[in-house]
Amino acid sequence: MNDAESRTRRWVQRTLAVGLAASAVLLIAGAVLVFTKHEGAQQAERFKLVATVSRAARGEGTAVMTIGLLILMLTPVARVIVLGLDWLLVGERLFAAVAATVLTLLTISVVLGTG
Amino acid sequence: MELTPTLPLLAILAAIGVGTGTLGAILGTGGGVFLIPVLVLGFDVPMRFAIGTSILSVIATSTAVAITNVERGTANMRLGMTLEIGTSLGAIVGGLTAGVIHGDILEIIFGLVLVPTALVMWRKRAGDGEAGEPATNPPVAARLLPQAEPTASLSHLGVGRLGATYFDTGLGREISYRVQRLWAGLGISVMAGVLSGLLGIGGGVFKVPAINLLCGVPIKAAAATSNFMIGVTAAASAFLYLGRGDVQPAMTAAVVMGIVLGSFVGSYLNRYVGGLFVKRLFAVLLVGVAVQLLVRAWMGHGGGGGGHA
Repeated sequence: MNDAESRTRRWVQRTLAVGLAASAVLLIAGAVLVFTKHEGAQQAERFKLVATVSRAARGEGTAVMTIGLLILMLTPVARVIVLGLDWLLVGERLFAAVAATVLTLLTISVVLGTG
Repeated sequence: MELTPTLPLLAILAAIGVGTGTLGAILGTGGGVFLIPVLVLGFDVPMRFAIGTSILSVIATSTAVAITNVERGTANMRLGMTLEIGTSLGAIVGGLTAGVIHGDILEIIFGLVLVPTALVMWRKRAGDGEAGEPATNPPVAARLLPQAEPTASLSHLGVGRLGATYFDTGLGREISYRVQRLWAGLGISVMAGVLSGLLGIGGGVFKVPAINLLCGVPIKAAAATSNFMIGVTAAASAFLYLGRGDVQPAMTAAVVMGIVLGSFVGSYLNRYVGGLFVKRLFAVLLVGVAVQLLVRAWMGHGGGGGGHA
């Protein structure tokens, strides 16, 4: 494994670890808020980003958990971006294009799901 | 689906996560194949919510395992990213399809997919690893078919743009390989993606043998690369489930945290309790669960687990 490859792997590792840790912190914080505020019955509902962020800012535990889950879902997306940028920087245009294609598909999913 | 997040309920859900994550790691199937039946049959959770919970759990466990595999250098990131074009496309199709077909149909498809999964588990040997595991051991899915053997160092010949080299601690030497039949690998990736998006499973049971046998990637690298891809594949459909309101935040959060913990516990326990008898016992159990799901769906009792149709 050469230096560039090692550096790429380190960046991917960091991205995944930070995403997982941030998600875990928000999931735990959300659970704590749910219990301290005695939040009542929850109806599953369609996801709306602005409304969810606004509810999380008001300290609603369920919304904080939802943001945590969203960060968990965005972690693999961030990994695709990191790898794509890294390949672009080292001149591996073919694989940078492959990463861009995957990112496009993920963006389509995000738009279809939450748009 | 309405849920009042009480401490005992979330504790039970987290315990289910720990249990299914532990089982998944010990038995080499990933947690989803156990989590979904437990939620649907044991707690009468509608199928689409069980799938929504499972797909988030798949992302969490895959991410945790990938951190290790990337460090070891066994995951082939270039090949993984290339095949992710297929799995992501398939996952979007699967995720959209799951939104329009009835829960009974999903239960039937899930029940049918459990059968080959149980077969893989039955054929597994003690000490075998799995698709979703750190690639310290060869996964077992490919034992159903002859494996592509690791090639002795090809570094003098070059590994091509998609090939790679890694150090195999078991063999004590570097293994280099070229990737063959990429189009076939992409085709299987699309199908694995559809199943993942439709049923909320990782799909490693199908992907690992394909990458190994069709693309000629050594089994350890195939397992690590498959796991590397699972997070992105699952994310491609997870946004659709979240957007439709098929993710119950409190239930999912509790299960996700439990299943990640369980997968670490299972990886540790695997050395002590991963014997052939245990694997075969659960393979039979899985077939029993498959039959129960199929009968339930056939009788129309999966109505509570209906899709949006």
